[in-house]
Amino acid sequence: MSTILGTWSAEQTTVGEVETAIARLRRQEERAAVRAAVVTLVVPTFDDHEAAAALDVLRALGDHHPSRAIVLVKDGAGPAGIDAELRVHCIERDTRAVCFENMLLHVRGDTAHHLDSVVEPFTLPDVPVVVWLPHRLLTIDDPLLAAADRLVVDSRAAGGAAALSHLAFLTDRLPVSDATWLRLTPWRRLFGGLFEDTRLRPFLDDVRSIRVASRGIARLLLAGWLTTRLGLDRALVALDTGEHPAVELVGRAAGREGRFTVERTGDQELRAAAEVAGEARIERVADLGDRSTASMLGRALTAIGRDEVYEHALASALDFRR
Amino acid sequence: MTNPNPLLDEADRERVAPPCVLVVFGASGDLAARKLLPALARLASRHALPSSFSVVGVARSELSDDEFRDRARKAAPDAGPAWEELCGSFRFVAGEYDHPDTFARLHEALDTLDRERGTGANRVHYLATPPSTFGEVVEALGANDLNRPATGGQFARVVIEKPYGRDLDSARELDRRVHAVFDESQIYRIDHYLGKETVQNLLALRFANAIFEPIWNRRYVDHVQITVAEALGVEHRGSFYEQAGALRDIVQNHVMQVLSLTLMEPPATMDAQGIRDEKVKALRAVEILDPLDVGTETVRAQYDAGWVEGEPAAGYRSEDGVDPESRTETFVALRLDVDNWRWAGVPVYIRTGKRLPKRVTEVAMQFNAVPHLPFLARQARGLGPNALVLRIQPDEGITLRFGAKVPGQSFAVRTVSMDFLYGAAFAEETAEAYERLLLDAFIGDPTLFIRSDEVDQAWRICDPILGAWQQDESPLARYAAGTWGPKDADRLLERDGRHWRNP
Repeated sequence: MSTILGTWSAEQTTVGEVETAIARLRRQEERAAVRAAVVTLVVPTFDDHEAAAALDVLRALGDHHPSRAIVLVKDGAGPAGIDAELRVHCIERDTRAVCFENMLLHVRGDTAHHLDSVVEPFTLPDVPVVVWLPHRLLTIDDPLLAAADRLVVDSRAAGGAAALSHLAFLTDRLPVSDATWLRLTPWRRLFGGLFEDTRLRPFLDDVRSIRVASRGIARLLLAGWLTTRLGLDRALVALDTGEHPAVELVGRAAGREGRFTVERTGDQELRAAAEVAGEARIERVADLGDRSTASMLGRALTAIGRDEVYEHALASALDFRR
Repeated sequence: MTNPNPLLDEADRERVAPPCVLVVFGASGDLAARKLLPALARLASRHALPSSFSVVGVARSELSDDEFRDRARKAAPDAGPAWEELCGSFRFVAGEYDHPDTFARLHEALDTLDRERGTGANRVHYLATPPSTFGEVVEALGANDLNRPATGGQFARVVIEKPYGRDLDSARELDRRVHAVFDESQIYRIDHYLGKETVQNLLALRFANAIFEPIWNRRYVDHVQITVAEALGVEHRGSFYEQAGALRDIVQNHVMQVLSLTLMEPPATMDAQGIRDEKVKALRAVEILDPLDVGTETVRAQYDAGWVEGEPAAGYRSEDGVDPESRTETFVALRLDVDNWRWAGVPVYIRTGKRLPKRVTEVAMQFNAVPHLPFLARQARGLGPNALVLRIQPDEGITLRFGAKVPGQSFAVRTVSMDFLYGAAFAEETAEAYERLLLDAFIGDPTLFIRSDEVDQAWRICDPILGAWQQDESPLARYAAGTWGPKDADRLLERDGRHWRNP
């Protein structure tokens, strides 16, 4: 875990004063001299509660993904101005220290409508700017989008199925990482892995039916993924409800029917199975791994470029919603 | 031809092994328990192993399938359900390596796994046995038709651990026996150093950046230092080490690999052939020491009792399994010269040893001094040579040492370090070397494995040194455990007007 090397706060301050304060905090502490940030992470929130939740995630994230994090609390009411709190964190690794800073900026009045002008001076040179939207999506004309190299969203928290078209607009504009999609990765890998067995792969060429169960947007994304990857008509896919994602695919090959499933079978366990008439049942198990928000955000921060599989799944998910 | 699996993303498909069985010879041994099984467990938990994968252990020990599965689980107790499930499919074949019955039962186990597990009739044989059995096991694989995939399969490969021979002749003899059974394209000679991220980063540093390559030559580099230091002694490997020594154990393989990656020319392509061709060319350019010069260009030594990392350490001759009159070297320092356009006149100093003050592996490029230093001598008192240091382990990263003005009213210059810390820039958990190399062997990427001619060239460099040492009956130099080797090693550089770095 990180330790806090220094803090600073001020009300009704300026961008210049905040910059000076960061430099001073770093100079005071020899260990903080080496900056380790590989990304500037901007987190727009709309109240103190959202901001506190984001800061909790960033603390957990910092151990593995040191970044300059700027958490903005946007308050359009009242006179224009900025209140700021800074923290310089340090993680001791062997004999070295990795240091990074978190900034919490309350941005009020008219200034709140020009967050890009607040954020730009604080972005680190030569590293990407990632905008993380933990709760809701930005409007398509939000000036913060111009400062971003990548968006990290959670489509489930951002309004679920209702937010899909808005999300599709955003993916047209910027590379997007979606925590809901990332959480589905173990399901997709385990299910897809079944067909690494070349005897089973022909069943994907003649799919007779697919059933996808889950809550909310996850089943739409899974259904979109399967139809786009397998080139299927969506009429073959039935959507069902379920506490956890589950997929059942029925296909035929060489005159035999095969049934392939993946489902959650324990707190941390996923199980995939292949049943082909006349053959022994094949079962595979995978660990769900760390599914915390910090872990999903960490994975999103290491992503490079567009996730075209996700974008196609998202576009197809829109059809399922209609 | 089967179509690609549409349900795995490009990235997933690239780094997921195809269906296969890993056959581990020596499966009840130390290497399997400490390295191979934990590496497989990590691959399983990262979903990098195919659904249709399993392991057959082969060893002389009488173990049942269940006992072997239990050992596998214990080798990675926290690996999670994917490993637990995978272990349930493992088989064990007990028997002698020269007995046809052993291989008949191996065939049976493999056929069953192909049928039940869908392992696709593909095999990767891993020789984790003592080096003296390599030839015997390989010949048995050939005699029992296990050097090619079973019907319907696509590959049969063999992974051979180091040491590959104990001198040039024995390495060539082993190669002859291996090539009689396997084609070179099927042979994966492993040196786990090549699986280390920071060793591979040498290629990224040199060939992905425009700023380093122009100065990576005799015009700018004064000399190169390669240090592979270990704080540990021989531990429980005393009897093995007696037969090996530092030159065979470290220099012939690890150091030669690091050396060739450091000195090689840019490859036309970053594939296995492109990289390995250039490595061989670099090794071929290393000047072979004349036996008469071995005494002046190399230093061999043995550690006496001392203190390492705050603990008392016994002398080498007092270690278990070590001859009290042993002449096996635990420390080597040597100077090599490279006869090619890029490196002519740039000496490469190598040192490796056990019971040195700390564990560290690094390559340091020390650069020439500026042609004219426009400062007063007192102003530049704190200025050392520029150096680019590639830290391979621990504390992986890169340090650039250069002069900077000391803040203040007066003008003084001092050397400072600009550090790049690998772990601070990349949060991804780095794969352990065996994890990376096993996956490469499954996928069929030989880039990080050693080709036959690389082994040959590495022995060509080391063989004359071993030969001269064998003829030399003078007493070995000695060093106290916990020091940086004998004084003779310091003198090796001092006579050239240079000093070892303090890593």
